[in-house]
Amino acid sequence: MIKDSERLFFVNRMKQLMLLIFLSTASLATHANATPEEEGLRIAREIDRRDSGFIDNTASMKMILRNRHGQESKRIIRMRTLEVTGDGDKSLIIFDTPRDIKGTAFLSYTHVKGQDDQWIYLPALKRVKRIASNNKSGPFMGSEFAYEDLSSQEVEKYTYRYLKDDTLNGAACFVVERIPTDKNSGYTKQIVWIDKVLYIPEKLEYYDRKGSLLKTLTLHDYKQYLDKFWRANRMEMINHQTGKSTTLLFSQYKFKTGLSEKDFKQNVLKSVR
Amino acid sequence: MRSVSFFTFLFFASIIPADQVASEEITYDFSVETRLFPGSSAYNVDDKLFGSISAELEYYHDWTDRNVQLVIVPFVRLDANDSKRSHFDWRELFWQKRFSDWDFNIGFRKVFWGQTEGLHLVDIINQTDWIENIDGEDKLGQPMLQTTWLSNFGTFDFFWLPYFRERTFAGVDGRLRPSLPINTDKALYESDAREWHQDWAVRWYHTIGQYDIGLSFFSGTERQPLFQPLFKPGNQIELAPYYYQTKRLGLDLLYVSGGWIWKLEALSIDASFDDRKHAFTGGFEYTLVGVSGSQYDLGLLIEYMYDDRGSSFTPFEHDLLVGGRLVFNNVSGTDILGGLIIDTKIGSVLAFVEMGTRLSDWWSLDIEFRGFFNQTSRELLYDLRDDDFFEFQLTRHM
Repeated sequence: MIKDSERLFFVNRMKQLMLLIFLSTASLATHANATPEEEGLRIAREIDRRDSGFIDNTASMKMILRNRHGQESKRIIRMRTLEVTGDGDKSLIIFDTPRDIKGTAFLSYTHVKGQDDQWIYLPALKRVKRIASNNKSGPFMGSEFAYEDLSSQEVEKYTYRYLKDDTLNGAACFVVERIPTDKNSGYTKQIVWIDKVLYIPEKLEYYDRKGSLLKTLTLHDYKQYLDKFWRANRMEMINHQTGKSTTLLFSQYKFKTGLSEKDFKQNVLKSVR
Repeated sequence: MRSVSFFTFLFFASIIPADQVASEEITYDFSVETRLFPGSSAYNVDDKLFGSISAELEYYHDWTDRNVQLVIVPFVRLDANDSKRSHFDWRELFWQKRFSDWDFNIGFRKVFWGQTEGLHLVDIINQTDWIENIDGEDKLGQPMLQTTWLSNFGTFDFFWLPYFRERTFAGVDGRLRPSLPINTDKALYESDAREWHQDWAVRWYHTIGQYDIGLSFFSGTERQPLFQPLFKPGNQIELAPYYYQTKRLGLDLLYVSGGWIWKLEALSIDASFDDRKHAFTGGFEYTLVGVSGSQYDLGLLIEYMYDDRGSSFTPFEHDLLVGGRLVFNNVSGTDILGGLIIDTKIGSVLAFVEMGTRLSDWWSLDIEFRGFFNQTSRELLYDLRDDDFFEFQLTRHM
């Protein structure tokens, strides 16, 4: 049984919803006049806007590498990210396995403009080493993911062009082309399928420096955290040129854990666990 | 040393809170190592094949959300040929407490300072475990009280080093040693306090955009000894290590831009028996990512070395390192580092190749070569002229 007060509440909610739909259709109408570049940028900004305010997060990641014969190799990794307002995020990646590199940690400060700052900690030598900032196209841990695929996706790192609408696994998507602004990127372009309702990427195609299709990334098992932030719990990257693939399985996502700038200093690498 | 370890251990036992157990972890590494010397030595050691095994355990325990940690890392090696090389060390045995802006550490730790690849001039806190490898990258655990302050204008490290560790050297049956045997039982000290001389050090380091900068000061016993001849009955001569007092001011600097990393280490040394001396080493590493369309990264490495402390202290008075690093970016994490250190005045060459790869999740293999070419009698490495060697190390991780 629904009480009158509740019925009234529902009616009001319906009115709000109708208004929202009207407004968004109206805004879509204005976007119809936007250039494909403007529309692409609007989508990128909206993705960024919806994902901002997470403050910090931590997660565990299992990486499964597969060669073309299907032989598997696994790595266990932990990740910590700190949101930085006005600049790129800071992140710390700690390797638990394979055992010979256990305790190795990768610290990066991404920047909206200019080069990212990156350090690696080598536990055997107790040494923190700065790494060259042109390595973004290199494979991460022998996987099919490049450093740039896993680093913080800042709006300013690409130029955008809206291509078309499409349907992917029954979900309506925007299809947007984005071109990396950094000359050290390993890609000439990426094609991204973005869910129209949730503004989350569903699929990415990566084109190499020769312009050929290199890899396809698909994102699966999205879960929403803190009623706001969507995170894929499984990612599949397939390299079409080598036949190799990599699966990332995420777990134990935690947000607003109280991390601070101090947890992303070089000094922390020496006692990180 | 034994008494120090024992008291340190008792101290830990008394400060560990028993009721707040959060997590604990033990890992082990077991290695089998073989060294092959193609030639006989220049000092009457004819053995060419050397074998040894080693083990390193790491015990880790933390409390209260990782803000209190205990780390214990004992290391042991057993060598079939050189009894001196069979040795034990507390690589690490320390307790750490972290506050928001401060860290506090007590116990045996390993600390690295510096930026360059060929030579670690500024690095001073830990004694080198020279008997492990002559590249100087193996270190003995150093007893210390240490605190770190994280400020907005850089990180400050303060060290109080209450006990000095003597350098390890090969024994009479070992290779990679001077032709005269080193008698480590007869070590001499400038300070009357000997190994109990209270050393201290401070370091500031900071990242400013594309620069990493470090400034350090050390006052205490120099880690690298000089040698004095000891005359024994029967006209036999041995070398006694002589550890003197020094004050060292160090600078390390790094600048990164694209594929370029520029590195500098500079040192000003004030020893009581000598004028103020200077040393520096610097150069660049340039990384080519994905060489000619492959997944390999190739690093080109050039560093110059200058030292005015004299040829009896260092083989690197005016030397040039030219080297390369090949990173395979494969599942096995294979990499190869190789190079030549060339004396620009005398023309002698020290060559090295180091390769490492993973065989599986639990096994890894390291191969190394060192060669000594054109060594002349005026140089410190002259006695190693016939000590070119290959090393194979197989490690099982548990």
